Amino acid sequence: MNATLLVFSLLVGSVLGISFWLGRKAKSSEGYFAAHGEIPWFINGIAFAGDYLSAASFLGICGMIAFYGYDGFLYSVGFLAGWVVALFVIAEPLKRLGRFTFADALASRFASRSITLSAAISTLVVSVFYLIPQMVGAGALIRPLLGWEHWQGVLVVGAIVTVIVVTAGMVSTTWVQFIKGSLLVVFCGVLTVLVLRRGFVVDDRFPTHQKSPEDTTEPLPGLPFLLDASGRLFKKENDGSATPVQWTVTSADGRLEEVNGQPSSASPKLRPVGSIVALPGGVEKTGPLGPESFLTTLSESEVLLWKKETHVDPKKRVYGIWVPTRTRGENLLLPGQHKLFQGIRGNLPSIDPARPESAELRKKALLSRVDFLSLLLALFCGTASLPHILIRYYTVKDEPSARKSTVVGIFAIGFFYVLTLFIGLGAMTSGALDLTDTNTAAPLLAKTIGELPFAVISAIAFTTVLGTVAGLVMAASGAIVHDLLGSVLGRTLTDLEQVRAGKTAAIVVGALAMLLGIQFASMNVSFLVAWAFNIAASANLPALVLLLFWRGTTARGISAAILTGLFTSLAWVLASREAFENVYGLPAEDALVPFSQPAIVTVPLGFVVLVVVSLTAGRAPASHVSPPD
Amino acid sequence: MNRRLGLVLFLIYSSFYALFMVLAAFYPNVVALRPTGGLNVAVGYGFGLIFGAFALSLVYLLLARDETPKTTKRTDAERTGADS
Repeated sequence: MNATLLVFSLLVGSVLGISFWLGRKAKSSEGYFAAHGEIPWFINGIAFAGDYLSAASFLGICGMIAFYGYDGFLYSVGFLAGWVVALFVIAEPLKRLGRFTFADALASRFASRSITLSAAISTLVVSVFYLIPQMVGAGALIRPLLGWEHWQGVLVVGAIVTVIVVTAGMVSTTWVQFIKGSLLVVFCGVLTVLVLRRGFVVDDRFPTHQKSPEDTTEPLPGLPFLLDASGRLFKKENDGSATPVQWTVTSADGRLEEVNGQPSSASPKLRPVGSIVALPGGVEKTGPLGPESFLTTLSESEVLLWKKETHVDPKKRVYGIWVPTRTRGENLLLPGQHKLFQGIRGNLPSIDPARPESAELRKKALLSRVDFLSLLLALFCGTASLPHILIRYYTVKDEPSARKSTVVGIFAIGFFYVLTLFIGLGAMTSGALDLTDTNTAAPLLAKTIGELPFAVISAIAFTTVLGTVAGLVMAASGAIVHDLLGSVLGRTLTDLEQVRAGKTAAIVVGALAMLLGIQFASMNVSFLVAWAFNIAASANLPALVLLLFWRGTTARGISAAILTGLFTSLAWVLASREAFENVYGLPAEDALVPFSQPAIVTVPLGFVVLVVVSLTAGRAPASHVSPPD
Repeated sequence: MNRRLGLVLFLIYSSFYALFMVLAAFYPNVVALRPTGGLNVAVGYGFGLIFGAFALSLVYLLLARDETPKTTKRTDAERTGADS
């Protein structure tokens, strides 16, 4: 076993060991599901950060920033802003209403089985959707570390977590989150300092716009790609020059055949990328930089970004081609670099109203903007609607503790999100990016600094995945046991039955998450998390907000709103371009919905349904407990 | 009381957030400006939203009162123990 692996195993092992030891007393169902409501507020606050700064935040956001710049940082801003909703609007009233789950809180005002049931279904669906990116992240982590395949990583994480949840419960889960939350924030701080001290260095390993090669063939007839005699692929530029590209060839039935012209039997890899090609003032290296000069220097530099194109050759083989493109740094610090949001720059190739395609372009620009606004709305509304965040309000004693732990959480999370911009941009220019997986950017950046930081960061990210998955599985099994089983069977389970059923549920949910994690492997995990936020916000936010703030809310209104929001948003994401392209392997053009983030439609829809149903079907039992003041 | 305070702070923050959404989506030229010659508006505003959340959450922590909930009665001993 090499040193990296040793450090990794020791760290993961000790975090788990400590957590088990601290959580060893939890035996009753109250202890299993809510840690007896006895977790101190500061610990709970950092555990909030631990829960929230999942694989998505660390791996996904850093990767998104490393590949698209500012568009990844939008997730940081939105994910934090969502906490404002949680703190100011939801936290205390919710703490006052409930015991174990979101469904309990709703049920405390209405003795309605349909509410309990719909809230439980929503909790389950959201948790499972949030589990997918964690599992994908797990696979992404294991690959550079152990050289395993993606699916093996997913299975290992799934198995470990299921064991944690089955043997431990909420106390251990909280301690895992606390320890790993603190470690994550501290070590990302260290990584940021190291990145700033390294500064930028010009790297010209990947030339662009070379003299066009001779003796070429066109592997993709009609497209501007040239294969030269020595087996290198070039993209023809408009000025007559050519740029060497990296590429993979996959057979029609999905088998990898070639990487950069090498047969797949030699297990070749794409070359790692990520470079600055010109620094301001023509210097070769900057030396150590401060946080502000890091960003201003980057905005005045030129960075090589790799744009992916997918084409099919006459033999129906699929070419994945990455073309290096010199990009001005200032564009990387503005929204709109990601292909989904390109329309918002308003610089779609000169929209000339006289030309026939201009209507199409204008429509694209509009949809880009709607998608963008919808994402920001989902991030803002989603946090306070996430079941695994909501259950953490039941692990503290009372509202003041709920409040204080939220503020602690906000500081830890916000500080971390500030760091993501530097880590992401550091990875963008580190020369270590893996073109096929945006999720590995942060660990690979650490690897360029040294094996030790790599081992430590990977171990933290791995415990992050473990902790978040454990929390989600807890939330899901809580929903099944308390709400689904209890209300469907129509009787209260005994304490022992509850814990046993919870553990069985945990195993089922864990297995489901593993399967889906393998299916969604090629997607950026932040993007996947954003979908979970869309679904959570659409299903739960209208119910939560109107329950707390509108006296006319009825039980029927709530269940109708939850189910409508849940199923419309779920159907929407499953019918989107990204799902078609990355999950089903179908052409993106066949997608059934015009943009990929549903929140801007489905959240208002939830509110409308709740109000309309409450007003029209008004005979359902009205609130029998006075609403909180 | 806390509820009112929370709502006021929420409205302040969400208007800042809404302005950010509108600027970023519809005014690409504005977010590209570099008013001080250093960071552009997009990055500055993004950091502003993060630090703004810090500031407002501290304001809330300082101004919010410990209210006795109406649904669950606690003893004084428990309440004093809660903050220790």
